[in-house]
Amino acid sequence: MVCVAAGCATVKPYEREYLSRPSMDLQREATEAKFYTHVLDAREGATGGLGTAGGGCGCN
Amino acid sequence: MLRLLLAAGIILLGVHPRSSNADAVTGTWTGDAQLRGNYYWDRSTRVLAPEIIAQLEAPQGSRIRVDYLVDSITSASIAAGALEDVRFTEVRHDVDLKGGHEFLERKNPVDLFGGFRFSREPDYFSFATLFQPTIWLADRATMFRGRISYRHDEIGQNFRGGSQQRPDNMGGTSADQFRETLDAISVAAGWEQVLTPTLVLEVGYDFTYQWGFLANPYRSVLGGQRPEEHPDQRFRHLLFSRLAWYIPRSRTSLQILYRSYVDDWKVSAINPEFRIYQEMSPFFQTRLRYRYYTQTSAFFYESNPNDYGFDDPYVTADPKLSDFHVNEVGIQFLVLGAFLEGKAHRSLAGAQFDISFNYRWNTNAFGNQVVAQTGLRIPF
Repeated sequence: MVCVAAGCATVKPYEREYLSRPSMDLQREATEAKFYTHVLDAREGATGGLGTAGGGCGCN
Repeated sequence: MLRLLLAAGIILLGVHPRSSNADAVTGTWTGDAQLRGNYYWDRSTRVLAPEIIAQLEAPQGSRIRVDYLVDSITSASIAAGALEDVRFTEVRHDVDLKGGHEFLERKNPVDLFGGFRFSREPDYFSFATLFQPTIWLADRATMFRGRISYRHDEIGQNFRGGSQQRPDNMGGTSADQFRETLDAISVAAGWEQVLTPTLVLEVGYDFTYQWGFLANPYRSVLGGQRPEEHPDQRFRHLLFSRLAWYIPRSRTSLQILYRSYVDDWKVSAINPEFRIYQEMSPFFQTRLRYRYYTQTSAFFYESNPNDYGFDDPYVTADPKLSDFHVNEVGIQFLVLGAFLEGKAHRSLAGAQFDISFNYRWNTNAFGNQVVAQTGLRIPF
């Protein structure tokens, strides 16, 4: 519904120049996020949704 | 200096840029090497974690990735439940091997990605495996991604301060007799949609089921008379979303991230985050972020660990099961090596360097925290 309302089906590949900017791509920050997510897993009760699996340290 | 860093990275990885310096057009492999430094600080724990990463991509769409990280914990930790106020150094080795293949020839490209992760430290071993399929539709304006992962942990004990004996009130056994396991299955689904030429939306759901030893073998309540005891399973649900908007006129990206979480231990949390990425020049970018996190306590949490009775089924001394909140600010600088185009080796011209600093005002027993990171990425 969001897609239809916004007419996103009409956004062609050649119109996505701005979406290819480094700042629009969170995957580019995946290696930075790995350690940061590990910190959150050890210090916060909620986990998940940040793209990497937690665990691996004795921080239960 | 940059040349020295480049040489060091290449030597460490055992590769030479000229050995794989083409792309899909010429039919050879490309890739990059990354060196990262990670640092964490709070009033009881300091972690230094250097990391090295290598990625290779084949022109036919296959790729492999190797990530090696060493965690060096340099002082006692509340989370680790130190029994005595002694400094210690504990080292954790983390190896992540992943690979994938993107089927480019399809009208709607599909990517299959998966791998393994091993983590070992003196009192903990963890193995995890992951499979993550992705499909793009509508000329890649729409993406659906699934993920399933399984993790198996083996938990032991090492008593700091020289003792290898578990205290009498915690069983009296020797440290090497303590062995527990913890398993987890996680499934996730995500949808990313290009809404306009400057707007992208991402939403997802993440479910995790854990079973086994979910407590910490070092923590105790009632003045050390009773070891921590948690339920032996946990069902965790999380919704996440991200809205990213690029403003061409100012070369600014604004992003809103939001997570909401609930589990059957009655912990619920919300976590909004705001990010501003500003391109200061074609070679220099800054990122400012503000993150708020708040959660309720677990149903068996007591703010005073001495309020528990000996017949309570579950007891905990875990600060992250308390009712608390975090305010966090962060700044990152990113430098792209493109300004060296024509002046230096082309690997340096394609390099990027980042450095970030995050400060967390945290209201539970862990106290305030610092996370700092730096990284150098060199393509070859």
